[in-house]
Amino acid sequence: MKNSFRKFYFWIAFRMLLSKSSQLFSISGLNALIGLMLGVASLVVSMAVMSGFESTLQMSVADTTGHLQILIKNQDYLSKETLIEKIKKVEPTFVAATRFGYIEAVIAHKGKLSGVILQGLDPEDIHQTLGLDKRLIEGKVELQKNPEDKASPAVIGIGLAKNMGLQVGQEFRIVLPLKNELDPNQFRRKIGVFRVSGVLDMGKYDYNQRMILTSLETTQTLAEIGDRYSGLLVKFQDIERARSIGAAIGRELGPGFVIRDWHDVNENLFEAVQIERIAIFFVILVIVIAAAFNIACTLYVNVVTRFSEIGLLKALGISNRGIIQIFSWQGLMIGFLGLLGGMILGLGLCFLFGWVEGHYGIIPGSIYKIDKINLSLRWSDALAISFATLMICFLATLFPALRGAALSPVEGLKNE
Amino acid sequence: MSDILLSARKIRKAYTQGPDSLEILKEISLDIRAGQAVCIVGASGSGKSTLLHILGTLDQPSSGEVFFQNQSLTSMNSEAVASFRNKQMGFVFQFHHLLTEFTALENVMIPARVAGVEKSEATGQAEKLLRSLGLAERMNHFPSQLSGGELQRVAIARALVCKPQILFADEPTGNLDSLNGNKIQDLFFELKEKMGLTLVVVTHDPSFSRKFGLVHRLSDGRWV
Repeated sequence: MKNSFRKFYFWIAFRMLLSKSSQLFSISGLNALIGLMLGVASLVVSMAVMSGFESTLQMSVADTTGHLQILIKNQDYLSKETLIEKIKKVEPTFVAATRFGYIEAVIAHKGKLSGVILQGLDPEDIHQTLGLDKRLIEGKVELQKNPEDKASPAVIGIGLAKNMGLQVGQEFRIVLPLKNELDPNQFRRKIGVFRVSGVLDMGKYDYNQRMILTSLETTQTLAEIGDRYSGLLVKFQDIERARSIGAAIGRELGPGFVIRDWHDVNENLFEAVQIERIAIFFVILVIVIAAAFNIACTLYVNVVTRFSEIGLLKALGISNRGIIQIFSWQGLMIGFLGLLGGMILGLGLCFLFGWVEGHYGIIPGSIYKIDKINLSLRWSDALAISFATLMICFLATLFPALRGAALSPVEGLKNE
Repeated sequence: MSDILLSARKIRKAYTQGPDSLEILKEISLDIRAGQAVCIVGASGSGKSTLLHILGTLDQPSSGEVFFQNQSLTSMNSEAVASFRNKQMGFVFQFHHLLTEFTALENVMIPARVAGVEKSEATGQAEKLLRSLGLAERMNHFPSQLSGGELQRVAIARALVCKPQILFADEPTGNLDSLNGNKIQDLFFELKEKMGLTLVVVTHDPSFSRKFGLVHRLSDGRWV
């Protein structure tokens, strides 16, 4: 029966709202609706930008550093095969892993110098573990050195390639300071010759500017560290589970290892994005609240101009609660219209942003640390926007609805 | 005493504005038996419409009580009064007061739907009533497409759809020409007999009041 009443009040509200005399079609009503649409569209775009920023960042981190980094703290470490066995035992969704080792060095090319990170990886495992192939701009992802070649193949970031004027096939030098065994206060210079085998867009500005990838063997030889390596980069089937998997692996491996998931690798950045996302949501929600005030005014005028109808409905037996329901439904309908229009407008703007960004590259990588954003609206954000908008519209309708309910039947009927 | 359907006891209604108080009804009492046709007459401003509104629970008296079958209506809460009004009372006003956004059929269905009757059943009841009032061809017309007499007949159908025990009419023919007015007057008595209604009508039309067996006259808020 209650459901039947709800339907009935909805029907009355719907018909009265869409009538020619409804305030919805007045200038102020349309203004209120447009204001709400713009507020919702702003929320959609801002949340899509934040989600896009986060997922772009997540992808770039995962493509270049894997889902999980297992860092070896002491020198008494296990072999790669033993480590993988232990990981598989804990987590059957293991996909692949590569050893890695990195050293800080200086690149020298045509008189230009720049600080870089030389990261060595197992060439046979990188394709399965990392997503470097899909980030390739030029050349190929080739790290394995041919014994006959003097130069070792290396893959570099697009920013570094541009800064140093490097192209695929060109050679460059890496200068590494190594400690002098005879005099600990002195360093000796070690030079490695490399050839650019590929140029990558690593998705993150500082990776593109500083990262050079080569084979682990080349790195070990250049740094004179024997068969030592820093740890493993590991990939699983689901990146979202990396944190819980990391905790389980940490417990299995014990204190000699540091486990960092893709989030930990850029913890400050991801946390800042989360805080910004919440702050932006509430700041832009103010636009929706302001629009809801306009809706409240429109509904109030709607109630006042319908005193006669309200009086009649009450004379026919509709209770105060019923009158509140009818006008609350109207507020929710306006809210839904604004929400729908705002969602369509917002998603349209996202599409437009994607197109403009794809063609003109409007995001300065030097500021935002990433070169492009793939805008995406999460279901959870869409639900939060919908819930907040409808709730605000519902609350905005309460005052006009209560005014209508407070009217006595005879007071309304005399208003003819 | 047991066949008294509606009774009013010492009904007083006054409007106060600042130090001034305007007393519209001065301790009016009235008993209406089931099945009676009661007419309340009086000059403009005598308080007859105010009394009808109070008897019909559309307005509250300043003091005094209204009873329906010995049950006090003035002490009920607003939700209970609304439900009671919907099920036991029907109203016809001088102006039809039909909702312009709804067809004649939908207007008649509304009280039944408020009473919780399912849509299909309410539609059937409304159609039957409209047909019996000669509006079979006008059911799906909007109020703007109906004549004055038709509008008032739709309003009567709406007042009767919940099969009330008592029908209140406030100057029901006041806005009609004499031909249509006479038809509506006759319709009230026809329906009263057919449905066993109790009829309470306010009018200042002498030709209409003459048709009632019981006429109460109000003057300056008192019975005369």
